[in-house]
Amino acid sequence: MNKIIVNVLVLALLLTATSCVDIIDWEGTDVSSGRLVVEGLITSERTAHQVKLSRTQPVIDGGLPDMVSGAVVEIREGNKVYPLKETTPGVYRTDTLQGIVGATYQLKIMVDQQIYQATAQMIAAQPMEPLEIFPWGDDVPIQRDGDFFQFIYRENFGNEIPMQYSVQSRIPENVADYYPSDWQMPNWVANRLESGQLITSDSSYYLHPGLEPPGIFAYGEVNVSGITYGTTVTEKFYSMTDEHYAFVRAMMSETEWQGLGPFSYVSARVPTNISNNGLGYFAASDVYRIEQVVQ
Amino acid sequence: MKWKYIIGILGLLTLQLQLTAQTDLLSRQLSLDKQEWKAEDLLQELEKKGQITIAYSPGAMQADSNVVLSGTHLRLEQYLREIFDLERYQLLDRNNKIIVAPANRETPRKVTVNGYLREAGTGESLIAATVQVNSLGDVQDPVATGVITNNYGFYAITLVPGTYELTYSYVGFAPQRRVIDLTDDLALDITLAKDPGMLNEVVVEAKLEIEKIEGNVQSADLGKAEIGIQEIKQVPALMGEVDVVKAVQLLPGVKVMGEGSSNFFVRGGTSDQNLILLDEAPVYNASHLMGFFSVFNADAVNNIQFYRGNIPAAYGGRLSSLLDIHMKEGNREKLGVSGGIGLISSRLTVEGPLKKNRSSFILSGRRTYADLFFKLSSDELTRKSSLYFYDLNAKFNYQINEKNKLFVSGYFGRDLNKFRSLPYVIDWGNATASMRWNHLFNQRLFSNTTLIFSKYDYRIDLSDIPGQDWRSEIKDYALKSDFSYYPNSRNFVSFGFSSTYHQFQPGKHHGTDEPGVPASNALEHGLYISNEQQLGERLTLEYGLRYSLFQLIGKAEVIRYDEHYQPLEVQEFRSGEIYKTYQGLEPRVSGRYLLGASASFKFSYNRQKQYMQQVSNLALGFNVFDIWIPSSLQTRPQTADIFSLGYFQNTRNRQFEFSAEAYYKRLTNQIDYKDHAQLIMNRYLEGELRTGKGRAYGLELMVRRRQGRFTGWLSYTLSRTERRIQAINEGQYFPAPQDQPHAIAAVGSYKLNSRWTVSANFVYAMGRPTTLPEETFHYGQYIVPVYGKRSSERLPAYHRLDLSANLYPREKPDRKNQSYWTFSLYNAYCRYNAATVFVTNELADIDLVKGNGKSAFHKLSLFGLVPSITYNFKF
Repeated sequence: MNKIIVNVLVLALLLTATSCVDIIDWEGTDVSSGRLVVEGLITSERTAHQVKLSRTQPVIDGGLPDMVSGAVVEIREGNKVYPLKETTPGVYRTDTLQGIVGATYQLKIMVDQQIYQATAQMIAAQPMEPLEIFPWGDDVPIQRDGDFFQFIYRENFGNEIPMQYSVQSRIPENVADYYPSDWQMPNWVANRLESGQLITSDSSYYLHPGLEPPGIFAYGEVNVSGITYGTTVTEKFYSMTDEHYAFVRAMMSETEWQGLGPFSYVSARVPTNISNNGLGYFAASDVYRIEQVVQ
Repeated sequence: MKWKYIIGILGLLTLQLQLTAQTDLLSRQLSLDKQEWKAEDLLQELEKKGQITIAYSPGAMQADSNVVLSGTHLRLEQYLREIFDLERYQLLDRNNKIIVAPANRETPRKVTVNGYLREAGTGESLIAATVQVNSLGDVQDPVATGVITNNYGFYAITLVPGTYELTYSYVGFAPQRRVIDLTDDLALDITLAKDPGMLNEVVVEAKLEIEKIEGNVQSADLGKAEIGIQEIKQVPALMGEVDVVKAVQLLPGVKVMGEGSSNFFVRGGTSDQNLILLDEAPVYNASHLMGFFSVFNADAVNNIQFYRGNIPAAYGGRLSSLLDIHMKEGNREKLGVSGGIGLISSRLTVEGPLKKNRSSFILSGRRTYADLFFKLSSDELTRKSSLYFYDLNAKFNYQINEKNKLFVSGYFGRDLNKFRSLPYVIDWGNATASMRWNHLFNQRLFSNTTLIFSKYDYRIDLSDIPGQDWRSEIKDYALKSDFSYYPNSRNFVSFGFSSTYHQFQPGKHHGTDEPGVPASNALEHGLYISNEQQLGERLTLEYGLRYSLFQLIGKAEVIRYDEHYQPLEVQEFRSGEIYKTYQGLEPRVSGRYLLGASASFKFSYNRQKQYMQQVSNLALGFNVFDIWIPSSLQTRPQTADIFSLGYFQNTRNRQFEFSAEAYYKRLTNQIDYKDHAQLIMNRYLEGELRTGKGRAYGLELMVRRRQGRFTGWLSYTLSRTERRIQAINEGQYFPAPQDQPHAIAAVGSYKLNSRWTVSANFVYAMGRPTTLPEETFHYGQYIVPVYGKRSSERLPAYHRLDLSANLYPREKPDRKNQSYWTFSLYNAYCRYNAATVFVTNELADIDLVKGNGKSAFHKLSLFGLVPSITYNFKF
């Protein structure tokens, strides 16, 4: 009898837990205004810098955006003008050049008889301590203690200032040279050497100041293992102005952090520095680079 | 355009006012068929022809004397001049009666009748009960007036010596008439018994006759609603939990944001603009279980008064409404136990006398037990999880002597959400305590002095993130004194003061040195006086003034911001230093003009000031992590100027009450937030706020039946609520989150027989504003929504039907215990209303860039059909 009562009560409780999420139709979701979207970055690295041009899409659309070809794109710094060439549809690149900390860059785009402009200042990147790389622990299946290493990705929150961040680990082609002659190369290393897939990890994300409550549960601790002697771990820290970070934070609020929990932010516009009703952001970043070779 | 309709309706009301005012009784033309009469016969003929009552003492005329009239088409006053000696007597028009009273010759001596109204069998005070007074016979200053009992059931009326009929009435109780020969001050306590089921139509009719000019028509209150606790218990409730706040949400002018929320928004105000009092102590968050239930245990509640406008001068500090809840005092006559066992919670109340008719107590508690079922789970994490709330109400009172009485009451409640599978623990709760001293200085002067404590706090412990144990708290210590003075039958004066010491701790990291939101302290004082004055037979005016003073006081750390809301500097103030003062006068004026016995026209103007505000995440409408912060160097106090008009009409001997109320509010310094504002775990919280103007206006129509087998109401609200904040929508007016222009509520309860009562309520509201994407763009790996103007879209309309039935046991004369079952269906036709609408990928969002998925609009619904069953007992 008691069991019946318990079952009835549990059933009743389950009946009350009736929340659900349904897909619904919404008027006007299949059209878009086709506004210009700019994704551009110039850095202090000596390289070709890129600006991507695309158009907005309807909310309900699973495809890739329309890229904008045939635009005239240039970046100015003082009286210097750097024209960009379209390398693939919608992707425009400078010649190799290096941005200068403290300089102000102006992006100018001419397309469909419209002119779009943006201004970005390059501020200095903050020096950072390198990642800690340490031997695999006992909990990782290994062939021999001390043969391999690991690191843990930097935490997304709690950085002193906001930065864009990338980290890459690459095992060397001559990895065997870093080990004793009697070392038996494990299969996974041999496979990578054979296939040429020497990059064991490659990730890019943002480091945020403080804690953003909606994003608390978006990330967890991620461990990168499979680092051999001789592996190069390269970290890049991209500086951001306050305005640039305001764009990034709003974009994250509307994407990775967006949810339905009690910590969610109310949906709102993502700011831009593109004129003439454009969207997206053109940024300039100093890059602080740390390269470690595991010895 | 809508304003034209409102103005048109008000114009019609004014026209009726003018027409009615022109036809007072004494000016009425009457035609008779002859000129010669015996005085007594003439009076009878005038009463018959004019369908009026003429009251006089036998000594005022000679009944068998002959009267020769000067004509047969005269005004009533001219006829009466032929009968009575108007040098010795005067003719008074009182509520459709002509009273022939002795002419004033000298200032008469005044005596006072006062006392308490209590419920028979329990001794509970009857708050806001009506005491109607009518003079009988040869009284020098005839009256036909009434008073309302105060929050302690006390009443007093000062009159000239004479014979009076006093009628005591209270909704749901059988009225009592007393005829008193008042020669000296008289203390007269009255007990009223509950109306036995209102099945006896004779009793009902008699009651209706007595109350026909009372209630909503007679009262000068505008925007006030009283809901009896018995009435609330009939309203179908979510999961069978009888809920005071959920019943209030069904009144016109009251909006809800979010399914099942305990928040409410009154006439365009925000939820923090409601002053919620429990035995005079403010309750800063009235929510249990993320807001699905309110903190008020209906078993411990005696009386609820709700002002959605025209808040009395005795109360201040909020702009929109007053929800004044009084706990039971405990049965003064016998020990009793009552309670209920429901699907999610059980409750138990014990009450009784400590010293019969002198002292009593009540203890009432409830707890949910969903977490007890977790123990049955096979999953260890689930077994270790907790999800519950509990609360405890306690009250004690002691009558020291005839003039002094003490009350001590308290509330304590907490919620705990701890899911082992999620890396956080959330708990929150309120605690209130009040100690009150009623003192009767003399027959005409009553006072109440109260010491108050109130606290609300919450904690978010992100146990997986070291140092992220975030806590927020507000604490109040207050002293207030209120005086009620009854100088004569035409004036009722209230005055008093209050002083509150607020301690704000908006947020701090517990267990680390990391600085949180700066704490602050404030003193808030209020001084008020008001008078309710009867001017003539039709007009009652209530006018008052409140002076409020708010002082921010050290020790405090204050962050100053620049014009772009960026922190500039931190300023420190030493302990006791007053570093900012705000003050203001808050006039209150209202009036009622009787348009006959069954209709009245009312108006009011209020100015309100509010010196603290709630920072609240409006993403879902849940109200757990609300943070209270004071007005500051940066954020100025909110003000409201509120204009209201109302027309009240009772029909068919008050079987139906009709009311139409229109209001306009002008609001300043209204709080909103910048885009993507971070409201918790943010030291620079104040930099996230944006302030601006607001306006709200509307029309509320209501038909209500309070007596008989069928009771309930039907209401319709037409309203707009808008904000204008420079940083939002280019400084243009936009709909506030609580703006729902059309709302309908129908609430009904029908007593089928002595065993079954069935109830239903239906609500409809136009969807609330929301902001949804118009298109998207790709940036890196993200698909970013593009929004238009804030609040440019609306959620789908909300509607819901709830049903319930109470089953009582067969009546037996010797039955000592009273128990009944409640069966209810929340959302009976299982409409999945939108708690929110949002856009996200049908699949993994990042993959969408690669064309693997597709965005879609999603609707989150919290409740489908929710059945429940509750067993209630009392013995």
